[in-house]
Amino acid sequence: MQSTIVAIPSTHPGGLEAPLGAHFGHCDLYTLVKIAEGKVMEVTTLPNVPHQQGGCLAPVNHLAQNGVQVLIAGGMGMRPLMGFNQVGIDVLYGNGAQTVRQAVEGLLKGTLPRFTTEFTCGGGGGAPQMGKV
Amino acid sequence: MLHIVLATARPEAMQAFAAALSSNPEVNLQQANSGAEALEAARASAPHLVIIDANLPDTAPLDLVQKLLMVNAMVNTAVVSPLSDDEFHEASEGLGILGRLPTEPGMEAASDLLHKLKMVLGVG
Repeated sequence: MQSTIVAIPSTHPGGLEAPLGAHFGHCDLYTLVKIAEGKVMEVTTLPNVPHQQGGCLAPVNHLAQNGVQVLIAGGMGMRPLMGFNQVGIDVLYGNGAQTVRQAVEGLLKGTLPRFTTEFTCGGGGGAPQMGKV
Repeated sequence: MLHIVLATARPEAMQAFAAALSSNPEVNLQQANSGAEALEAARASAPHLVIIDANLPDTAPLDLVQKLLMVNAMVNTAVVSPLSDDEFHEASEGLGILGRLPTEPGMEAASDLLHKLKMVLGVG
């Protein structure tokens, strides 16, 4: 049975009912949801890593090293987006989801758009401010 | 060894800065005269850091940062800019730039930048 590990930036304590972390790189933690055959099989949490100026790739490497294949985010900068693309993690836009459960349901229904540079915040894309890394 | 590319068309103004970097035995400093040369260096060897001077002949600094990210997001960048720290942060948000450098950086700027680079790379 093939499964996919999805990471969702969350506020403490994480889990399906947790609100999405508004600031990707500064979120409290990540909720990891294992999905197989269109169903949620397992829900765990993963601590975030400390963030420092210019250190946008730390969470990219952190999630890649923990087997994450898909990330759902409300906002991020261009550098981490390019980083995720380059390490092979698909990034989807949360599309207004308020909780981890809503984000996962959007994923399972196929209603979450791919996170492209148009969604990035700040100088990377000129789009509205949706979050910071 | 830290591989650093310095992209500048003002070698005289950057001389003290470049000398300070080169004097560090942990640094391998490569000079590029344009944005295109810096991009080629990033494609060829994935440097740890690309330092981008203002007034390059072929590209604006933040545009070059975006092009570098598309080549390899793992490459860190630093940018020479006359903007204040707040203005620079606003202009460059999301690009993950390691730091802003003054228009005529010297030894202290080189030392600070190397410290930041080592911290980000986890070797500091």
